[in-house]
Amino acid sequence: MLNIARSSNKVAYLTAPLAVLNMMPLVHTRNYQLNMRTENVVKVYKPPQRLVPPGKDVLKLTQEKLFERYDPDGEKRKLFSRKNIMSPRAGDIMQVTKKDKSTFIGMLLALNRNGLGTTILLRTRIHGIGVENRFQVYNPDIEKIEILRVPTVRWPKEKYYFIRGLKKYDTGDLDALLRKERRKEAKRLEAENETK
Amino acid sequence: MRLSSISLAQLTANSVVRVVKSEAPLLFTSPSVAHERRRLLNRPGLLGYKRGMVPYFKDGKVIACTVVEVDRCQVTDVKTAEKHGYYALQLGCGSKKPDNVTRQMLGHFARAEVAPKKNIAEFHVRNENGLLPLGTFLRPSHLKVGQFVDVQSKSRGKGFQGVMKRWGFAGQPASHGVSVVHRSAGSIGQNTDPARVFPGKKMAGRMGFETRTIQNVEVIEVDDANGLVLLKGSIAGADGRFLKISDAIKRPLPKD
Repeated sequence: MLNIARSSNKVAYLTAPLAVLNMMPLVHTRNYQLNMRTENVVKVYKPPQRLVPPGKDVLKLTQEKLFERYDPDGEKRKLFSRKNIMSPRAGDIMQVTKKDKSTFIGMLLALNRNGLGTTILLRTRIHGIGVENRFQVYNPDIEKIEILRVPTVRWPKEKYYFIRGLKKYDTGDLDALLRKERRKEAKRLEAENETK
Repeated sequence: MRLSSISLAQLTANSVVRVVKSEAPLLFTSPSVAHERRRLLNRPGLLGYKRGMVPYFKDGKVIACTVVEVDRCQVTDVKTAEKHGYYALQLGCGSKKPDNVTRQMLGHFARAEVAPKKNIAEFHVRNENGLLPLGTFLRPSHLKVGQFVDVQSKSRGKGFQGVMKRWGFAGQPASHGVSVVHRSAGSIGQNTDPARVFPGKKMAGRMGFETRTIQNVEVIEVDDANGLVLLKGSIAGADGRFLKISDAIKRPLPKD
């Protein structure tokens, strides 16, 4: 019954019977160790549910949330979607309308598709000086982005940076040009009405 | 001659003169003074993981924001001055398979009645008012929008790098007789006089994966429903890195 334990961590020292031994005439004493198996069970608690829905990424969730906030009707997302055949390309003439109703007309030099950070670079010429403006598409300050005109001939380039300063290709004062054309069109319509 | 019979003026030796006992002054280096001197926070911070960056629009301007996930951040241990010599809260974050956790740590988590955590970190606090009971959940709304925080994390590891990349040394010229050593450091010391290289000499070696604290980071947004915190600007380290976020020590907390 009394065994000398070999593994030290599973040992309980014999204490109570020793007191009994003390009362008996001392003939021979020896410290025996009683081998007892004690299992210390460690409780493991179940982890609570993760706040992010399973299979969801916090980054994507944030992006979705911000898209909904900055583009509630989804028009901008639709316009700049890669699946949209009519999405802007370099060379298009575009108009950006801000919330304060100020507008900027320019030729699209570059479209950088980068999710929420999508930007467009528009170039025009005002009083003979080339002016470029880069817009954050999903900025809530920008109310509307529209394509006014699509070129008949496109250069086989994704970015139109090369037109800068080249007399042959560079944009004119697009705002003035469009105003002029609009006036011409109005005159033409007037003339048509008169003839009728 | 009997001394006892002669009356003598009593003399007291210097060694037995009564002295007024005064308390020892608190030394600059004594623990209690050091504790008062330390810039400790009144409350613990938060633990989270870096998940990436997004553009955020504020007043018509774009700000780059870091997305932080606060994943089941709980109090796993409470340290008090009586027992440990200082007041601190140990927080745990994330979740880990119990099979991959040592028995000692399982016992530690069981005492706090929390599930095994992936990362744990400690936040010193000024006094017992900053302590929280074991197992308390800390949610993103622990931080206030507009407040400033300090974020501690490990930077990206760059591996073994030369002195030009690691320390910004100029290297050596491309020509004028320089051969093979264009990106080398050059001299690393003097001559016979020290006859050694001074400790701390900047040389090539392992770069990155160092603990970096970015101070005064503004909290842009908090979302309890998804365990989300948006911080202004970038944080050291790659996506998925464990972050320790605490109130900024150099800026006061905003008034409620």
